[in-house]
Amino acid sequence: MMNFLLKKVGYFVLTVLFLSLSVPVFSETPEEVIPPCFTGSELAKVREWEKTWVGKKVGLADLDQVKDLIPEFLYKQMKEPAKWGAKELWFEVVPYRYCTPSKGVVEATAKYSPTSKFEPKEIKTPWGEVATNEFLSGYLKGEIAGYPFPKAKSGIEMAWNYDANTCGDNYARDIFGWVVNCKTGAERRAFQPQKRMYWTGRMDLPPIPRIEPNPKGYRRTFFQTLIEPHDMYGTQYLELRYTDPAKEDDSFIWIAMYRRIRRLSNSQRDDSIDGSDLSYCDADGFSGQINRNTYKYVAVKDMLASRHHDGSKYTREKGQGPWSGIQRERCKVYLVEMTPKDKTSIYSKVIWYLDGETWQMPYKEAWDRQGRLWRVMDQQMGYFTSVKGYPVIDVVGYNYSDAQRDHAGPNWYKNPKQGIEYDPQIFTIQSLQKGY
Amino acid sequence: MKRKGVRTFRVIFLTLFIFSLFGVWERAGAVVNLLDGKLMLKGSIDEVMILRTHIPRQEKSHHNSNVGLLLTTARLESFALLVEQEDLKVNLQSIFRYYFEAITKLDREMNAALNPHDRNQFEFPTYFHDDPVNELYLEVIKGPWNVRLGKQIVTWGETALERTSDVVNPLDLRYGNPAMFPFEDLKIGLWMLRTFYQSNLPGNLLFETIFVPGDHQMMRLPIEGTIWGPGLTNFKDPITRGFGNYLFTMIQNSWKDEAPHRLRNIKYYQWGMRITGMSAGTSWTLQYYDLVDWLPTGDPDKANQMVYSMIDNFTDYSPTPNVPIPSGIWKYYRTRYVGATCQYFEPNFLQGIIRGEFSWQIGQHYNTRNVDEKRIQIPAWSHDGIVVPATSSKSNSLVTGIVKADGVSYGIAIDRPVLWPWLMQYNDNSKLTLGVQLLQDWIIGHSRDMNISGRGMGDVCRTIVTTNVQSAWRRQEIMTTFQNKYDFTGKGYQVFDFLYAPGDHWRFSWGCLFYWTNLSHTSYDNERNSYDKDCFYFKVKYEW
Repeated sequence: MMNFLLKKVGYFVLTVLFLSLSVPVFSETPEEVIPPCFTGSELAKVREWEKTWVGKKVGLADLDQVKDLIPEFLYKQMKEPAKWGAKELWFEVVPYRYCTPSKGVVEATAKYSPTSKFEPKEIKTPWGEVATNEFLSGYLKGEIAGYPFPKAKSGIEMAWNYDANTCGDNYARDIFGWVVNCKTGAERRAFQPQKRMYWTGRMDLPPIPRIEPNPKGYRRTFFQTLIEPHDMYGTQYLELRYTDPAKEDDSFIWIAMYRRIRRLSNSQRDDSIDGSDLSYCDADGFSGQINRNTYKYVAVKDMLASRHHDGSKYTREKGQGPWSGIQRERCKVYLVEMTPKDKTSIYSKVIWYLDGETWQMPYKEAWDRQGRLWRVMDQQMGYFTSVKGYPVIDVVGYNYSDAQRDHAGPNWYKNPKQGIEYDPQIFTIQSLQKGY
Repeated sequence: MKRKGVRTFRVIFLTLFIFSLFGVWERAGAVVNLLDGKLMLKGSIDEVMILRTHIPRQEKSHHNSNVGLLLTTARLESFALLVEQEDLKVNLQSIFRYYFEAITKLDREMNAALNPHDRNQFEFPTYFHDDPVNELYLEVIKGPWNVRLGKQIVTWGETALERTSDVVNPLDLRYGNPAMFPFEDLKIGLWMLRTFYQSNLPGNLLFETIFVPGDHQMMRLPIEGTIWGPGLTNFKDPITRGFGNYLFTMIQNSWKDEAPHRLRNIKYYQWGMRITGMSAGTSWTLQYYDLVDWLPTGDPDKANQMVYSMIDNFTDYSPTPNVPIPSGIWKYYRTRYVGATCQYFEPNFLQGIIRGEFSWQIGQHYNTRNVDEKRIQIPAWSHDGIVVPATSSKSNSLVTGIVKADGVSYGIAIDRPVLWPWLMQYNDNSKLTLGVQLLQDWIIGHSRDMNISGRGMGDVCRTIVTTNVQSAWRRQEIMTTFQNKYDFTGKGYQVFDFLYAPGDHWRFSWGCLFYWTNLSHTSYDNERNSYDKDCFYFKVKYEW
């Protein structure tokens, strides 16, 4: 009898051991954690459509056939290339591919998303109020990482997914761009090396999920040097973002011409950067505190967006505002209407087009305070390999267009180095006036 | 030999300048990058013309045109990365600046009216300690240390248009003033050792020290007869219009002759230290600076001998021709500053930036004047074999003594972007930047006979309010700026500036500057120090 019982216990223990060892074999795949845009019959339909379109250069001649897959402003812009300083504007259709996230992104999302929730109480801030169920629990102390709501249903959930993107946690890159007056053909060039480091919500580059110590409670720190335009040469910009929504961003600018460090007010983040169609809060789509706005999920739709773009495919002529040569693939985007809580914001309303896999923002439309369509951003994403070897989905470049004044700004992020290690001392005020 | 050296330098500078203009480009229109990006060259050439709206009647015969200044400036900046290792970086940074002022050559009457020696020195950077090196320093960055050795311009203040705690570099006011140019374009570089240490202490404290080993530079005040200087005084002989030094010119030249020789005497060292930190959302600095005055104070007896000499040489009633000016009149005293600055973003009511600076000047020397017109004895003196007997006078230009007094000053500036919808529809929805500054300073232990520059007799305190409104248009292709300065001692000015910057290289600027004063217009003395400065100006600049 004893032997029988011992045998039973032994088999039970072996079974448990076997199961625990095999857990990795049966753990969730990236697609299970972060669902792809298309599966099953939908994917089959897309593949069928691609048979006609992949490899094609879509320009004026066949634009009408894909009208339903591109936003209205983009359609109109491509219909009137001369207005934008171009003989023709075109893009290339490439096949849809799942944006396979890195192991760190999958693990973080799998670990933290099941328990994602919002704070049940309001948070009073100097600029207004964060209502109940708007602020993500665990965000303040950097206790979470990954997409909090991989199967998001509401606008606020989608917005927090967007915020979760850290694009490799640290990066360095050079932004090249032009401010183009499409009517006159006059161009002004910009060249600005950038550095950025996330202190919380880290997924790939140790320490994960946060850097410690972090006594000031940084969410993210950003540093930029202006090389061009020439009269701004040597100007440096530092931005310190906090996890606490009650704390305003601290932004400083070292103006080389005046040799002074100037503090910027938060309202200056609405100002355009060096005369471009981009303001500080528009960088990478939206660069602000999530809780400064309210969000409403509008719709989901298929769109030709740029997700695996190769920057060397960009083309443009002198005087041309938007890029040509963008590689677009059919994907699902979620439209989220963002309304600033600040009544003095320069925008009355913004529509974000969020990629359902990467929660990046390939497209955005913004309306001015008079309710007219004003700025449109068409952003291209790409698939990179970080310096540490893990994959990163990050911005390759973008077009910013002013719908009211017919000028645009094509930009390209060159020499990207995601996953680069930094000494945190770079992101201090004092480093602003060091040699450039 | 010195002339040859200057000429040689001009040739080298022009060669480098032209080379960088047409040299190897990494990309068209870019900063010039050489040696794999380790050497960056950037430059500009600009032309400034100032058109006076008013020349006093007494001076009209000394001018052929209303052009007050025609200045061509070439600037070459370089940045060379000499060493870059993991923990060590060595850079060499330089700004060279060479200029030529043409109106003193083109305007024949003005050419004849100015003293030739001073005119020549006004045309090129050859005045006294001037040279084309604006800044040139080696920078070594290793870990938390940053050491800069060479000629540098330092900015310690926060406020514009007036300085309270920005006390390291003197100014060159011969060609421009803070109404038209930022302070950094007016400052004179000093050879110094500057070190920074970035600590890990709370507040991210940064410690900075400056040591200037005897590079004393005199403040450059405007030249008599030029746009920003006092108007020309009457000649001794109005018919022959014999050339010679004029009152203000004579004083400046004697300051210059008796100024410390540059870098030759360590006793004219200057030093200072500053701590920078950030606490409770406020970025702040504390500073201390020990310097030798940029302008001298006169020995009373000798200064009076000079006054007597000048009055005699420039009037027609002296019995003794060519009364010599004594030597050893001026002394450059040492003074110290303790100061602080801060910057804070106020998010609730103001939603703007508040900047402040405070300064306590310790032991500034002032001359006192004979305001009560008492009879002052002037001892006899001799120079070059000429003996001038003792005399006396009741003139209120005479000096009665030297006093030492402390001064306290502060400045508060508020900058706030505002939204004006009716304007924003025309300027790409840009915000308007409004700035207001209040500055006040007091002399502690002030007496009415103290001779203090920029104040009337009896002004214990000076109060200045400045306002600034700026907006960008057409995506910063156009910038408009309006500045107003109100000095409660009864003067001020307004400046309106319009900048057009199409493309990467060209910059065009137009503006006007108008002074006002409570003093009567009918007096020539009042006119020549205010209304004769009213002008329109035009700048064209090419940058690469």
